[in-house]
Amino acid sequence: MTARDAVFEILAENLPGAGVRSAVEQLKKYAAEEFARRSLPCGGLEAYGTCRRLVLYAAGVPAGPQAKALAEIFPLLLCRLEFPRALAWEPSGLRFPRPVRGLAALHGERLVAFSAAGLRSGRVTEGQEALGPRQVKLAAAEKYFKALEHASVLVQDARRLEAMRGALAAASRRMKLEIEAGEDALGENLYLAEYPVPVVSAFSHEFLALPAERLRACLRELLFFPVSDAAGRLQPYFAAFRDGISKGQRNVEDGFRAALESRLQQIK
Amino acid sequence: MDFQEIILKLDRYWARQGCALLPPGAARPRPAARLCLAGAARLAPGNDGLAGLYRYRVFLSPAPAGARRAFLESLRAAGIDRSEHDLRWLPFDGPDGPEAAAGWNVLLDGQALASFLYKVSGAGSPQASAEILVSLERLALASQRRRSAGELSWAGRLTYGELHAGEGE
Repeated sequence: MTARDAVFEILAENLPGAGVRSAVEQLKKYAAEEFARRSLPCGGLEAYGTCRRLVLYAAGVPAGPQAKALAEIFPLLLCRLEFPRALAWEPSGLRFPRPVRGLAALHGERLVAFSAAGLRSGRVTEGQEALGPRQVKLAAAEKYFKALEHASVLVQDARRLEAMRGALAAASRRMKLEIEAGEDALGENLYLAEYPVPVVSAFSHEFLALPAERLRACLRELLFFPVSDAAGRLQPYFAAFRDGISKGQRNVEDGFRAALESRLQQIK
Repeated sequence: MDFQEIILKLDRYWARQGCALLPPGAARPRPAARLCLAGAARLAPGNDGLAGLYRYRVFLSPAPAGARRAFLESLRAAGIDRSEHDLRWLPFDGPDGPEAAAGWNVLLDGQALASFLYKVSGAGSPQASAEILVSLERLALASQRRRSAGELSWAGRLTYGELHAGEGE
């Protein structure tokens, strides 16, 4: 029997970022345990998370009777996930930080059928929300990441992080200034957008009179990135990420600026 | 879109979703088994973290699975093209207890637009209701692409500023 990849996606309403990070680790750990317990071999297990989804990807799961275990494993993984704070949303009693809205589960082209959280698993998911409600039909597990990327969702955390780093580096070069993109700040932004699009905006010079560390702290609080010159002096610019596509950038630049200036006005 | 047109559009939109429209200032009736209410209201100065004097309130009980999407669609009804703006959902948790709550502060281009709160009650068979509060000023500012509430067109040539002159707006 040929081995095929399997994918399990939990689609939820926007989840708190800290919960996602931990759930991704749990998903991978518990999947390894459950696969081992059922002696179900696979070529590799990986888990991913965005603000709206948790995804388990199992490479090379053998087809045949053994693969039936997937329909037991997937709902069990969902039940085992623990969050700092979760509520029961529907009669099944499953506790989750926000309501679960969809379960997609495929092994190769085949649907992995089960029920959990008051939902039945399917082969349909949703794309980038900023583009309007758009259903994405999944033809096969192996096409999952491509299908989602096509719908403007970068599911893989590392890919998203890489896209964010690349976008900030390109913006730095354009401005001939340095965007201060520390690992912590990038990490905080990682679960904010499914398709991070960079936004560069400015703020009034008068706020540069504030102590630099307070200014940096204020930017950080809003999940914005400070911009400095070669000598490390803060400049009246900042970078940020929005979710979606680069349409109406001006609205977002002006809005972010207004949000920042109103906060800076308060601490002045 | 005029300020009053936004209210009319929202009324029409939520009525189409099956909501009963409440006149401004009406108190919310005791939670019934099924209830869907919507309406604009002027608030006494409070601290709900939103800007402006006016809120559009929607109460959905039980909250349908598409409550969040219905809220997003209501923004379109009010003249906001979502693809041209950034929406950030900042999660917050309400206090634990018999009626647990969890929701989001929704930022439009970084600025507080709305709060969306689920309240869950019933231990054995939990049921969620949703309460949505939208700052009408913020919505109108984005819809009309203005910077300050005073410049907003309320109805035709009448501005928000003229209507609220002498209120220290």
